[in-house]
Amino acid sequence: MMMELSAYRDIFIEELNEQLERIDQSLLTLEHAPAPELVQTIFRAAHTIKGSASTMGFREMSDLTHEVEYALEWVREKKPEITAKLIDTLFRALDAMKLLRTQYISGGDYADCSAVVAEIKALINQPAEPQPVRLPVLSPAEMLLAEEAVAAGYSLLSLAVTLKEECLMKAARYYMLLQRIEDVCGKVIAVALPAAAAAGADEDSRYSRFAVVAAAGKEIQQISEQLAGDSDVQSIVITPFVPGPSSVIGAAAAVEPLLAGPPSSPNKEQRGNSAQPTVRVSVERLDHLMNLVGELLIEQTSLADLSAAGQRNDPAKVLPGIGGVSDHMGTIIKELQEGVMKTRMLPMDQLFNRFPRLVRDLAHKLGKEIELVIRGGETELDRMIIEELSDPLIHLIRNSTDHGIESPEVRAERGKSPKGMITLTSFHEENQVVIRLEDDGQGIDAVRIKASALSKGIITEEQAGFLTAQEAIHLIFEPGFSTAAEVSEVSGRGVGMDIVRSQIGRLNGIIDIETVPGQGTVFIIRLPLTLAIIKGLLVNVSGRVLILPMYNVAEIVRISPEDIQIVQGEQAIINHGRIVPLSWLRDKLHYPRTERSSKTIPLVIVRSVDRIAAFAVDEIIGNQEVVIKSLGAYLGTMNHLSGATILGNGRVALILDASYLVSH
Amino acid sequence: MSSLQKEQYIELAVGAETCAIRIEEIHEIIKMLSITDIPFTRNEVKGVVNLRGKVVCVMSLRNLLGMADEPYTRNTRIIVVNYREEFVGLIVDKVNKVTTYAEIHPPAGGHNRSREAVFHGIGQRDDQLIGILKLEEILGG
Repeated sequence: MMMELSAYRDIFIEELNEQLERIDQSLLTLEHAPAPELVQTIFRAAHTIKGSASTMGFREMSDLTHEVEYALEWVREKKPEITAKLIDTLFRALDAMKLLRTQYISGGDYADCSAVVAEIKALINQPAEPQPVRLPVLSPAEMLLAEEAVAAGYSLLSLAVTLKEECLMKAARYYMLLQRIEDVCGKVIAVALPAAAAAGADEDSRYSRFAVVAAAGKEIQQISEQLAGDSDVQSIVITPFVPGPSSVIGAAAAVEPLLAGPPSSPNKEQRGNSAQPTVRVSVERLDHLMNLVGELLIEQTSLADLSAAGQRNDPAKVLPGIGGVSDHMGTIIKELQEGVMKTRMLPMDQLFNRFPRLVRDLAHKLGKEIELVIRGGETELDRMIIEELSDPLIHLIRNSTDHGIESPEVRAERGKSPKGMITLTSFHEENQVVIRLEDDGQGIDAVRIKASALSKGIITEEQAGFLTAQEAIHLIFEPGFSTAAEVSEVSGRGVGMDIVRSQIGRLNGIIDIETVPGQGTVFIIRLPLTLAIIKGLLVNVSGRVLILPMYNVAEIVRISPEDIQIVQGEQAIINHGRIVPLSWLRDKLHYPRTERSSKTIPLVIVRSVDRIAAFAVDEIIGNQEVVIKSLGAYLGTMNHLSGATILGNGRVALILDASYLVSH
Repeated sequence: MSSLQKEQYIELAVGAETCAIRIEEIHEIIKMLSITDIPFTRNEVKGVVNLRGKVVCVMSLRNLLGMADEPYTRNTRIIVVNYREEFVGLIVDKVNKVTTYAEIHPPAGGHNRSREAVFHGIGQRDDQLIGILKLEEILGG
């Protein structure tokens, strides 16, 4: 690489990542819904990569992308049918590009991409001719198998097998050959067959050519000799198999880049770039919903019967029956609600899978050794929340790698293992999802935070005196706060911890920070399972029913007027030994004052993200599940409300936004 | 203006004034519902109502036309209109009838220029003149 360009290296890698991600997603979408504009998107991305790679003197990449671009142009011009083979070829090219990228970052030697280039060329030049069967793209599970085999001293081979035209019962021959290959080589890891034959075609002919990836303990020559001599086999071509980018990466990070790419991966979710997001729901879940609807219909019939009976005879006699039906319907509706909610759920892995790569890349860049351990990726959460969580989590993880984990030298000095550890865990706890991000780094130094906040004018000298260590730590969420000595790529993006706070707040979440200087930091994020239906606390303020999200209600207490203290000119109460600011909800919302009859004041203590505040209300009504309805676009942004709901009496009740309440 | 003449209009009253709204722009007319007021909104936003499970924002047409509020009566109605792909309610004192106009004049310049913009034109039937409301202007302003 030319020296004067090294300053742009990071920008180039960032752009490269972005474009590769774009190609990745577009290819996935293209596979499901062929659209010319997607080909255009991929073409543009490839073109951008080609341009910047050649500027950076990264010949290997620009040459490969040139071929990809060529292929895409061909697709654009000739508009061939988007076949699985075409997609696969492009995916393999993408994998090769990712491999080159990885090698570029680590500064190693570049892999030979001529095989992929040949594949692309073959695709374009002889679209009509039957192609040699493509090599299998390994799924993550297969990838692990392959890695285990390599670790055990086996070498990976790919075997392209062509059966003779006259061979009968090709399917049977195929299975026998697989067995044979397994016997001779050691282990079959993956098999690729051509896509299912077109309707009407001979199903058996599908098996006439196939490719196998096997782990072998012998030389190619030896295997070739042992497999030869089968009268039904036209040819077996054996070559060393080069898997995707993973072969150069450690095991944990290896699976991640593949997950996003190959068509065999489970990660086929269409990202939010299409206008109509779609959901994959298992038939089992749908059947369950259907059954529940069926039960509801039956209940409705019995309700109609009861109504008719009530009209003929004494209505009072049918009342117990109606009560029973109502109870039963309530149970069904509850189950239906849960069932429908589940169709909106996604496993957390959807999000977590992006992080091994992130941590790895960051660790490289920062010259640190970091291991990311992920647990509980199967925890399900509303898809919308998962999407919204991405940015704040990325930011927290970047923070942990950047500011949390120390350099290997410092760690060694402090008697820690040179390898830092970041643990990302998620699990269900009651009605919420908890995400724990734990690092064994240097912890957050409250004194340093305080000093930094003071110098930046976030707090005054006087305020600094009052702050406890815990409160000081929460200053990292203040806008404009950053202890990073230099403006890194992270801060360059304009994402600060205050954004983390506002985004988690929007999701009705709560963040706790536990830190021990020198030992590490834990961020604990608690989130509701869904935003569509929440448990709400109904309160009465000036004759109006208002709803507070139950997730944000820390406590309900009754105080007498004498308990209210005046601290720094503001009303406050002491709750569990800490000072909590108090305000009257009716004043905050500019509602008229009403006469109070009771001597005590009901207080709702509201928490959002890391802040807490107490609100005096006229009356606590109780809690219930409420369906959140939008207030509509006409009213514009209503920061103080997260929506409205319709109460049992048909009236609309407003749902207050907890993060607004505690921060204004 | 010829296209406006063939159309049907709903004639309504706010204060001493009679106005009309193109029937195509109207989703339905309902009796007064209990309104939930919303803090920190403009004065003409009266709040939200439950329209068969939908939360719909209601505005005071009196306020929008620069008149003060009056207590609601038995005749008060909410005209639910389609505005930018959602429903918005307009509170009016009274809904008179469905009608058409023989002749439609361009909005009068007159003494109150600021109000000229909120009318499509002036409908004339016999010797009565009725302002035809331009919703885009009234609700978007």
